Amino acid sequence: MNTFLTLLWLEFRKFSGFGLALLVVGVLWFFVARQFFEWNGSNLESAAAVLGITFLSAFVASMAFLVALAQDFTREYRAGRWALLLGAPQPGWLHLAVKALFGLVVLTLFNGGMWLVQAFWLGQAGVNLPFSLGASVWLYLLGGLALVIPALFTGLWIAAYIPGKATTLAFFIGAIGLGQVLEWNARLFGNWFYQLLPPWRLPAPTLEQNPMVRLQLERFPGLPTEGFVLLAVLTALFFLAASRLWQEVEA
Amino acid sequence: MPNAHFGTVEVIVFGVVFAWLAYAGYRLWTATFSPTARWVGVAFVALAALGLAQDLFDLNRQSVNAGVVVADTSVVSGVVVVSGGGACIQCDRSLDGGRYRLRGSWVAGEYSLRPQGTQPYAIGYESGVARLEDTPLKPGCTTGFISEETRLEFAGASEVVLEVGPGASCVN
Repeated sequence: MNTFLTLLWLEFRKFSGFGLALLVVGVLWFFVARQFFEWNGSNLESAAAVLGITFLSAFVASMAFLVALAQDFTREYRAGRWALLLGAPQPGWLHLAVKALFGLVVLTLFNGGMWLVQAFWLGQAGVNLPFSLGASVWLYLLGGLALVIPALFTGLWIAAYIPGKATTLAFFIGAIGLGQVLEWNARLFGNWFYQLLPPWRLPAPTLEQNPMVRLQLERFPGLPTEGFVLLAVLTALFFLAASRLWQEVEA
Repeated sequence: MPNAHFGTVEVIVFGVVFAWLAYAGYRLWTATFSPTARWVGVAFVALAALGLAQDLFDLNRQSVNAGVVVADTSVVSGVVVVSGGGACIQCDRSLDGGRYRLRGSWVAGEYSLRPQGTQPYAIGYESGVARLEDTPLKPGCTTGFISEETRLEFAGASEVVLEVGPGASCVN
């Protein structure tokens, strides 16, 4: 049987309760969001309220899920399951990839569902969102990766210092070091920004605006694509470092 | 090392910081069995020390400080941070024959122009907003003379040309 799928299935089993709760939140919100427009009328206030509550609840639920994932990881460590897992012939990065993919899938399903709920009811009320779905998706994925990979790396890096009782020091140096890595990359490779690849155009908000401001937004050439390539490389590097750390921590 | 003038307080403070970094490096090396953690720790400490040294001794500063115009631009090239803060995309700066010259496809930021004596300037841009001492400039080329420190602000101006010094013009 495929190891990857088995591990993924194990994750789903562990978090079925949490997944169910997220599903319930989504379905409840579908009905409650409708009531906002029922009670308050189809106006901009209701739309703003629905938009705000959707964003807030999606953020809170996503954070809660990430915290639960981290807690589960810690629990496994305390229970000595890491040593057991890493004694198996499957490499560490496979386990971590499964955990990362699982988190990504659950959060994407949940946040996508929340997005659909609000887009549906806002559409019924005749309100168009000021930003496109594409823009939201890439912001979401970028933000998610920017959050998860450093957190994973920092967590495992700190875990390596539990036996030596230097976890606080490891945390500080980890935070400083990650910042320094970004800064040094900007210093060393900043010359190439906007030179090698065409810039990444930002989708401009479709809100009605001052024509001067609109012109400025349209004139803005975009973000440097080289920066995103650099971040992707760093992400891969830190993911590899995290899986190596995980394997060595139990050695 | 340019611009490094330390008093007693600075020497003590930075001495303590570097000593703490050295201690951290030692602890991070000895407090784990994981080789990856060790090397990552050493690398992080080295990067932090290097970054601090760099900020202290201004190693990264490309100070254009010659001729009749002084223009300090601390550079993260490609995206240039100008004194006062700002960004310049596809930026090209040079100093030739005492004439400071900047070209950028998109500029947002504040510049302080400090001429020696009275100097001609030329400021050109295609669209966006540019202000010279809070007076908005029209798109296109503006020329004139400055004799004292002048604040120039670009707020998302595109196709910017800025020249200050002898023979300044928008079409050089």
